[in-house]
Amino acid sequence: MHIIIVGAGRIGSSLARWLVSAGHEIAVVDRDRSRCAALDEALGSVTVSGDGTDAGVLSKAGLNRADVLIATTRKDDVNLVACQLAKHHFKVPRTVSVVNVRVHAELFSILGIDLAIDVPEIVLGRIQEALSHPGIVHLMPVSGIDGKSVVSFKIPARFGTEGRPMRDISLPDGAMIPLVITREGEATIPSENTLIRAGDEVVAVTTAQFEEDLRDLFTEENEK
Amino acid sequence: MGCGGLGVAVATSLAAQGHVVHIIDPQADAFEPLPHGKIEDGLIVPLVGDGTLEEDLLRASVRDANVFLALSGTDTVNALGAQMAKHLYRVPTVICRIDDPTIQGIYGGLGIVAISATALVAQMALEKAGA
Repeated sequence: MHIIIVGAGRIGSSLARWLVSAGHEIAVVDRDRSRCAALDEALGSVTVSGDGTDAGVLSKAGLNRADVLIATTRKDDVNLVACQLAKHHFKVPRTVSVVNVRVHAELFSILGIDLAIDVPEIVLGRIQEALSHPGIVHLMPVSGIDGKSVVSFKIPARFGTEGRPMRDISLPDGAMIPLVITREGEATIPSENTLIRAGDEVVAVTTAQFEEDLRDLFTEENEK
Repeated sequence: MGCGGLGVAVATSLAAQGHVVHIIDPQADAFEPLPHGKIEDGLIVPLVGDGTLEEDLLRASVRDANVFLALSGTDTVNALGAQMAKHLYRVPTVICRIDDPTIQGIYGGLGIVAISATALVAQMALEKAGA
């Protein structure tokens, strides 16, 4: 795909690195010349220095033939106008934007920006989750299956370094464990003989109903 | 929204006609040129704030407004504030200052009245010159 990124800050530049390594053709627009130079040095000549809401600059970055524009600056006004120029002037098929103020995410959706990523909402959600469900992290919802989501657990100390075999762990009916990541960072699909050890990370698919049971199984007693 | 030269002129004129004008600007000293009598009469209500933030717009009673004018010197800020007023707070008439001709071009189709200060001044100058 051909992707234009507006903003070479932390989000924009890490996105650029990932997209290049995934084989996409990209251009990054930022007003700050030193940011552009740093990114050009790392990735080859990928930047256009200038205002991401200036049609001339966007045109120079190749927005006419882009498949996606991704706006990543810390200023929602700049992100919005960049997306709207892309959508309505350059007829770019997809527009994606980071949003830094919560109420703006709603506006971006109303205005037809394909994806508005509400950064404060995500950060807040993760913190609330971490505080309300010790030991359990929600990775993503599973679309199409009612109320199921993919979660991960860190296996507590009481499982010991030898661990316990999978067959001894009685999972709730609705849950399954398709992946275990060991302390050493190795990912395995567990069989019934696989040992689950303290410090391992377990990725599970579960419904909200059985999440409570999983938490009882896999979190520290004293955290309950 | 925006208490620069244009904001002051429009607010002063509207207040003289008896309208109530809430005017938002991030700089408190931007309100100095406003006519003090109109502020004392409550016809002009200056508010230090950001016209793209919900809490500041609500302080300016945006939900009860008949008209929203985005007149700051920054096109992108005006575009964001104006579209919030139109789509989130349902202000019936929204007028937005956009000086960049390409950006102005896209808003005509999006239900926002976009005006360009530079284009208007240029047009007036040409009219006065009899051109």
